[in-house]
Amino acid sequence: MTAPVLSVRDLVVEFDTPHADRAPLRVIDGVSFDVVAGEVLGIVGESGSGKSVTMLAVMGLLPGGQARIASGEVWFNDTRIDTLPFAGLSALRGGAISMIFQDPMTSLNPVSRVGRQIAEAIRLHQPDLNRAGIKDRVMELLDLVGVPDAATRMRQFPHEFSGGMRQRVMIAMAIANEPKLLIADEPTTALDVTIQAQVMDLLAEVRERTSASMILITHDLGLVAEVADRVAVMYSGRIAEMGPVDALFDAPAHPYTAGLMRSLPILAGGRARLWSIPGQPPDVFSRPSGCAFHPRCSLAQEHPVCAADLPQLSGPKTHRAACHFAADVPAWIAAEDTV
Amino acid sequence: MTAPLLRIDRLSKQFAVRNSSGWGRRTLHAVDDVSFAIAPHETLGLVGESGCGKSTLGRMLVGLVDRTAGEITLNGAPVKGRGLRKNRRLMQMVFQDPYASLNPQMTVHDIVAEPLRINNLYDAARVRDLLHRVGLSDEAALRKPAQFSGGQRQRIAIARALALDPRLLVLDEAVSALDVSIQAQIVNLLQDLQRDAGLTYLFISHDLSVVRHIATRVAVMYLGRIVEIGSRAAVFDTPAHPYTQALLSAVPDPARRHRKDRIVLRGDLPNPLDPPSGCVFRTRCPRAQSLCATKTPVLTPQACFDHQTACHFPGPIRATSTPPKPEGEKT
Repeated sequence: MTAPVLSVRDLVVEFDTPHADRAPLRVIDGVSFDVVAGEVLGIVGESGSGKSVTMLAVMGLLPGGQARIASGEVWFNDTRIDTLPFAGLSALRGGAISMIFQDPMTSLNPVSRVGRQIAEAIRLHQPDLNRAGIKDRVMELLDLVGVPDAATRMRQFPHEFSGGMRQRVMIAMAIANEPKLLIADEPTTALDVTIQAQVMDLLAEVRERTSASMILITHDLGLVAEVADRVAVMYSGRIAEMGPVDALFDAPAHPYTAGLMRSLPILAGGRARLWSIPGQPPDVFSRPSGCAFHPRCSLAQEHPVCAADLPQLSGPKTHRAACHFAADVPAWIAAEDTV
Repeated sequence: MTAPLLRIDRLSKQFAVRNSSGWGRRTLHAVDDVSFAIAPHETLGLVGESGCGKSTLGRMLVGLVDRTAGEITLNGAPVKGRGLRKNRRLMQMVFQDPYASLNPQMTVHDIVAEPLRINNLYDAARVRDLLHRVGLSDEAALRKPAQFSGGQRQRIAIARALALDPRLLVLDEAVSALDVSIQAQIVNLLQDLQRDAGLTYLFISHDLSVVRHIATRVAVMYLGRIVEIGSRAAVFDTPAHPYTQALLSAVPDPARRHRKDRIVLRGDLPNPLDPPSGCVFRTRCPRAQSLCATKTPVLTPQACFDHQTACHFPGPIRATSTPPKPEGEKT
């Protein structure tokens, strides 16, 4: 087996509350995963499940003074990066690890020309390159991400670009230094579906050229199904289930994953009525005891253990679920289907 | 066929937009010559990408935006002048963002009671009944919107829209901001309400999967025009317009994750201030010919009369390896 590019071990992230007397909130509560070379790991979850905070923690971008990694380790190749000082992190960020954010309008500087912003990413990590070299590289990158007429476009400002074109600029910036790991946080959520298809095709092309691994964070199960090799499903700050994309979609082993799949109105077939998970996702201030999903889980109703004990990820090495009754889930899905 | 509940005829909306230089104005055709009818109890899904004019169309129906030209007929009576106030009660709207569409300083009871009070119909028991119908408890009535999650807030917005017993609800991206598990709850609620109260929906959304689930008929908009309209089965199973085909093909779907035949459109949406001549879709269309640049296609019936497409070269997806080069393409 190949060594992982990124390895996250028992990550715990705490946020301070405005009330000094209260204990800090455990927003991420023991998350572990590996990303191996060349693969796409999809991280899915609903709003507030902690998927973005996990990645901010990995990149060392947690809001300072309010949030911190309380325990756990983050390894990138053979370097432990969660304890690196600022300078060490800066050398990695935008270099060997780079990130693509959701909203390309707010992540680009509105008063700086696009070419200059891409050039900055190159200059910081390749200080030996001269001005002409940087300019050539910017043109090459814009060309690569499919921005036509690069020589003119690099002299324009972000507001002169459409949403899809801005996201291409973000991708050009992210791949400027041939990263080994791309972290894409909802890269297409702000875009229309026909533009989303263009951007996802571009990301696939770019990864093929640079053989980079990618972590794709999204709430869109359809997108993950089409792009990812492996998927981690997050619920209330923990990983509920993790496995290869086909196994996870064809035979979910956690009732939450199964519920999510069945709440989707799928394009290919019509059901009379959508299945829906009862209740609301828990907020971090009042996370339920035991399994955080138990108040919404019909499988948990007969089992007091679900409210008492926190389930750990278990099962075969490749496909694991954090459920006390993962073995009963297929039978439970079949029973629910007949109702 | 039963008489339509709502008919719109050659409806247009033009906005005057200031030039970027600050001098002079240009005309933006947000909605251009749109006609359709909605039968009682049906759900017309209106789909399209951002900027195609679907929200402007919905707002024109309920009178939030004045129309530039065209007729709206509700129940056989024209909606204009004095008829507007009466008809407004019969057409209500639910907006996308439940965080912005509810007054944060009012209690839930007052929010739902407001339309009743305006029309001198206030009755506390009726407010309680409305809240029960959308699945909220009596205790919720005393709280303020900030204490509710997105899904619960959308229930409040739906209760408010139902207060005056409308016949037609315009749902503008009403479930788009919600998480999957909550979205399913609200979609089911909308379907239950439609069955119990005989409601008619105009369901505006960019999410084709949800539209396929909830709509009985579907209209596809592109740059202010309807390019295809028909029954759900006709539009989703045998789309005839190349834009509809590309749109359907672009939606990621777990059930189709191993397909290889995705159509990816080239380029961006054209600038609506400077739309292409002829067919507005021709700059991105794999089938465009010289005719498309000169003649604007009109909605024409396909295999069945109810299924109409505005395309000079409609038909199923073709396995052409070399798409014809679009002529007169702007660079």
